Amino acid sequence: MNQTPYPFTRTHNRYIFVSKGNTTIFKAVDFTSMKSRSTFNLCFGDVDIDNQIDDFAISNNGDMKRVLATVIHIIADFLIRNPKAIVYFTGSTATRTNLYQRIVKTHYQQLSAQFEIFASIKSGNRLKKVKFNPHTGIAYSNFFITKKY
Amino acid sequence: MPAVKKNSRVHKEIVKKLKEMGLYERVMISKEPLFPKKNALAEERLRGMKFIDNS
Repeated sequence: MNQTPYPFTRTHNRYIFVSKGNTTIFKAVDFTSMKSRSTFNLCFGDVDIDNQIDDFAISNNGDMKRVLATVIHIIADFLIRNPKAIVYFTGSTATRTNLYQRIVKTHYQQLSAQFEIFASIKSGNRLKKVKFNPHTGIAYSNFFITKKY
Repeated sequence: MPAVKKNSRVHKEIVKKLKEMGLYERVMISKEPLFPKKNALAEERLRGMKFIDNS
């Protein structure tokens, strides 16, 4: 992914940037501490013009690759500041989770140079944590990223 | 690329726009999660799950 990221600003564990595609959309990436305190849930969404913060919006703003590049740079910045953190993300729907898996698979080479990437496979009430395999046909249910040393 | 500095043009423009939108306090000052629905979903997904580490 050779896209130039959008410049982003940071406050606490929150990052803000402006997507300038078909329209101008404010985007936020929030890393929220989960019950397992070293794990941070990556939440991403729109801060829209109607004074709403929409966490399930699909923007179709025509700049997905650049937005994605920006999110990857944000994860890197967060993990530099919080080197022991585990960044967790999952899709809000099965379709969205599949999309995330395809994105990680597509950019695996670049991502794996910077990050350790794990995923989990759901089996009953158990989650089997495995190294992300870009060649698998298995649908993962959750994703975890840590800093690579 | 790291986050921009607080005195940068980009940061100031974002702050200005968020203030116009009435979201400055909620987005830049408050530590409350911006996306509570997503956090609830994430906690729910992992609740009661037993991890088997095969990595």
